[in-house]
Amino acid sequence: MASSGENSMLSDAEWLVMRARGYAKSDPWAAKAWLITARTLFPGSFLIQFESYQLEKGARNIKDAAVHLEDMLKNFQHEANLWNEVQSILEALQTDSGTQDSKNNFLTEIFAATPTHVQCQMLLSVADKMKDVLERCRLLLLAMKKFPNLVTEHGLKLVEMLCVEESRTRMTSPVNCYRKLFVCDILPLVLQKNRHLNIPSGQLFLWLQRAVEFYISFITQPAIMDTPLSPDMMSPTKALAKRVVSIPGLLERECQITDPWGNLFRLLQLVGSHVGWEMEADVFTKSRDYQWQYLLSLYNRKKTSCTDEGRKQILYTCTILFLQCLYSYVSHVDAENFAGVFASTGLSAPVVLVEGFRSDNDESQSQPRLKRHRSDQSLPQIQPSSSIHNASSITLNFLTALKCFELLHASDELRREFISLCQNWQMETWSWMGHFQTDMFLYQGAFQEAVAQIQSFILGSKDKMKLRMSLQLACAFYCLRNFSKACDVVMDTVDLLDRVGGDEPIEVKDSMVLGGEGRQLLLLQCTDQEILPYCIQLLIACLKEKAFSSLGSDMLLGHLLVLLQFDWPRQDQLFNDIIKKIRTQGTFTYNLFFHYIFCIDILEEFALLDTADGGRVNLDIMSVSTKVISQQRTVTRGLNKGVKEDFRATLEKQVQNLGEPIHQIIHRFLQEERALIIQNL
Amino acid sequence: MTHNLIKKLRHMDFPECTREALQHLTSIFSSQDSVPGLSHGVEALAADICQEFILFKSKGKPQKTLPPIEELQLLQMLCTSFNEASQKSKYQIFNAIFCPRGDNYSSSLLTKLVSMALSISCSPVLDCAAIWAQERGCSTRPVQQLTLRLVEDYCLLFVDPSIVFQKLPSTSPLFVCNFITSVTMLYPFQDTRSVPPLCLLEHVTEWINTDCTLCCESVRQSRIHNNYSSPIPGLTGWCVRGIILSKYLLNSAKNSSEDSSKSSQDVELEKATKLLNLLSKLHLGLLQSLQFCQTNINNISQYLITVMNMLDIIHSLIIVCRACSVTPEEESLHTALERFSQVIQVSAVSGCLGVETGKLNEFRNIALNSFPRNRLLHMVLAFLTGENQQKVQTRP
Repeated sequence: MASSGENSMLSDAEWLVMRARGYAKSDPWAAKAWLITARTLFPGSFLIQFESYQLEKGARNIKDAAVHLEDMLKNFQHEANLWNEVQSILEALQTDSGTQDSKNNFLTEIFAATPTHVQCQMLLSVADKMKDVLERCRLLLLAMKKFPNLVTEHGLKLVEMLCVEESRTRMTSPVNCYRKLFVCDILPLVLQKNRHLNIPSGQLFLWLQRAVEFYISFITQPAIMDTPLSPDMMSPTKALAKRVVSIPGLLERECQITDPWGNLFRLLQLVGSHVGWEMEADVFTKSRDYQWQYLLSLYNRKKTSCTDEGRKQILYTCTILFLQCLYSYVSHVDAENFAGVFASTGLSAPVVLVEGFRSDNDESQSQPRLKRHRSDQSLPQIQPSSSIHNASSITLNFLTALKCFELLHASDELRREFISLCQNWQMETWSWMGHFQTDMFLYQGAFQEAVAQIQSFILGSKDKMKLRMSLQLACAFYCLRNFSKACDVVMDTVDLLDRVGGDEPIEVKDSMVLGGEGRQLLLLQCTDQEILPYCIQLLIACLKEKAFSSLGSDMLLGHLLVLLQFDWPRQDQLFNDIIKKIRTQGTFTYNLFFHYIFCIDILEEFALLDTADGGRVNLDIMSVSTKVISQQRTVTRGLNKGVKEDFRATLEKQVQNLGEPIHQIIHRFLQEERALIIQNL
Repeated sequence: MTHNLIKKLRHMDFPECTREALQHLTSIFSSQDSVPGLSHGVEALAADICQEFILFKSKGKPQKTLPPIEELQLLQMLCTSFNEASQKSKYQIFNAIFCPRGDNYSSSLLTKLVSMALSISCSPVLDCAAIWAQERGCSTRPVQQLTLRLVEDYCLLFVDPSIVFQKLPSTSPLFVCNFITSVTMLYPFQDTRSVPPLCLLEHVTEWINTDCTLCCESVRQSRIHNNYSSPIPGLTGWCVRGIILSKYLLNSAKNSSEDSSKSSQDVELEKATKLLNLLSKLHLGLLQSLQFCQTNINNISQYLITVMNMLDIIHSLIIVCRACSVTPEEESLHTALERFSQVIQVSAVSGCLGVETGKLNEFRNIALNSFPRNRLLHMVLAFLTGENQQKVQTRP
């Protein structure tokens, strides 16, 4: 019988606990009463104390459980079971409040119910027992967040611990667990809570550099999907939202950094406040124009005083602004390579900056001038394609980045320090920096540099990025007046387009030929819809240059005619020029004519050319040259007449034959006659 | 002058005369604050005023009784003047009115006053009544009478828990404390006729369990008022004897199927089960109240329980066991012994137990010889004797 149970095997304390347990379910009051009695009989028994705690915990009596916990922490500091319990409480504290189950919630409440000094003691003692640096940091971080006055004592120690551990473990990537905790969690806390840090400003700048390096690497690393696809993630939108950057050693929720740029700006401001910068508090939430004006006026003010500290402020503020503009811009260029924590750009393909074409009306300016001087007030205009809905912000980011970049090169000291930063961060390995530089060279008219830049990157690139570079390379060659190279690359580019040869007609939305004063650049999306027309236009521009020069030939004119069909009749002016030239010459030989020309307007014009009204031009445009025929046969009077009748018949047949879509004809032309086209340039 | 005052009052009608009389009474006791005790003349005057204008008893005349409406007015005036009187003079006034002679009229007025004070939460009147009960002794007839009336009004008249009783601890903790002491004497739980009403037991349990400071209120007061009273011995008796009696009631309800209707059997079963439950909870509350004394009262002037009380309880337990024919191996007997042991143990450690070595030995002998062996009881007794020896040793 339990009540009188003489369990002689058990010690008195064990027996008391057993009796209490016996009542735990049937009569909780009795169980509690037994444990109260037991504690008075054996005040030094951890077994009884722990049982009392468990009983209160089981009954969900937060307050009483907390009292017992406090008591145990005071009297039984060497009990392993106690520390196991404390540890599970602290683990519960650290779990995400969103995913907390009721057990964790309850443990958290017990923690909250203990007095502050006990909470603090729990955190610090457990942290002290931790061997793993990461675990220890987590706990100390938790402690510091709960008890900010601990920051002064533990903050800097923690910073040092993380830095040491990062270098000790030889982390290859700046995106590692130690750096993350350092940059995102500890450093802001330390800078915020310590009003007066006894730290040289050089050290603070080093920390800031490490922060920049971390955030840049974090936001530019490709997203990793290591969670298996659950059915509800199969939908593309959800899969996109779930893209997670994982940092080895950290839990998933610890890897989420919701506002990296905001964090970096706040860190900059915290560092600034410690080294005595005067900074506008919310400048980074304002418009790009405002930010640039702010930076510029800061620069102008500091330029006169020319102090070391003033220069540092320019250097770091400008660099970080530069990086953000650059990042925003390049995320529209190379979105696929950027981590998924960022808002989708809303575009289906990368944007590409290319040279615009001048209309024939102002022929005198049609050539872009090489290497504009900075003093030149007429900076190039950027004309975005109408398909890019957020073109203005893309352009603004690009231009602001450009201006920041120029500002960072405005003085020798600044340039030197900026370059040194770039070297520290190994900026040359950042592909997105390369993209920006290419675009910058194109914008500045530094085509030679652009060619060199692209050629060093293009080999490793693929898909859309390869297409983009290829297009820009062609563009740069064209601007350098290396037409054959330009055409060669363009035709490579066309080969890269995947839907050439598809059945759907390509609708040319915007004219590639621009009016207006000064140089103009086009901002296009790397879609077939926009790239193919540009390629054709670039070919036309190249051929045109040569065809109307002293080195021109009928072959070039013929090629132009073929290409003009693509966007017919948009460039009728050029067509008229060609016809005029043919009339003036009086002869025209182009045996590929009937292979590639199906445009009725052009065919009609040629039918006319042959007549007396048209100027009686001697046309040799049949597939088999009349010259060849005449060489093969004896020349008789009736022969030419026969040829002429053949020509008419062929013309009529050609009109009826048109079935193939025009872009397919052009594509076939470019493929089959590639060598011929290049050869003629 | 004295005569003038009385004369002046005699010329007034009720309720003015009483209102005036109460004002004079208040000012008499307030002005004498600095001097301990009143000069004989003034004391006599106060007594005369109380007799004639509050109790309406003039020398040589029959007791005048007020019509109910006027009596209600009188009670209201009394409550108001107790609220307004200075802290020190409150009990002096109360004492002047109710102490001299416990005649029927004055005790009936007191009962009515306390009842009203309960319903309007008038703390000063309840505090005074509590001190009065303590000075008189909780077991005395007038106090027991008052207690019975209150139990009848608040526990028996309506079965539902009384809201007035529920909030009583916040109105007057001292009153609750002495009221508990008094009810444990009114219903000693030593035979089937003295089982406390279920509703009363519910209130007491609820009070004790929600506020562990209640039980030592009277001991705190005893620094000022000399008469000792503690609810602990009575409550311990309830817990110890209660379990035997409740089990007995439960068993007889189970076995009474032959001669009673099904429904009345169910009622009895339910009642006995409730009693058992409440007693377990009450026992825990008791231990917690004792524990509270350990941490919060450094030098209580008197013990909450003594070995003499323990002897009384163990004797009564023997009687109850005999009356209920409890066998030595019965579980309820062991539970009773264990509950008793627990109270002894916790009160000893909390410094609430008054120990005389001789009496302790007597208790030990009775406990060991009258009951079957119980491990906890042995542990506690060993602890007590050990501790006692230590005390003797440490004392030079």
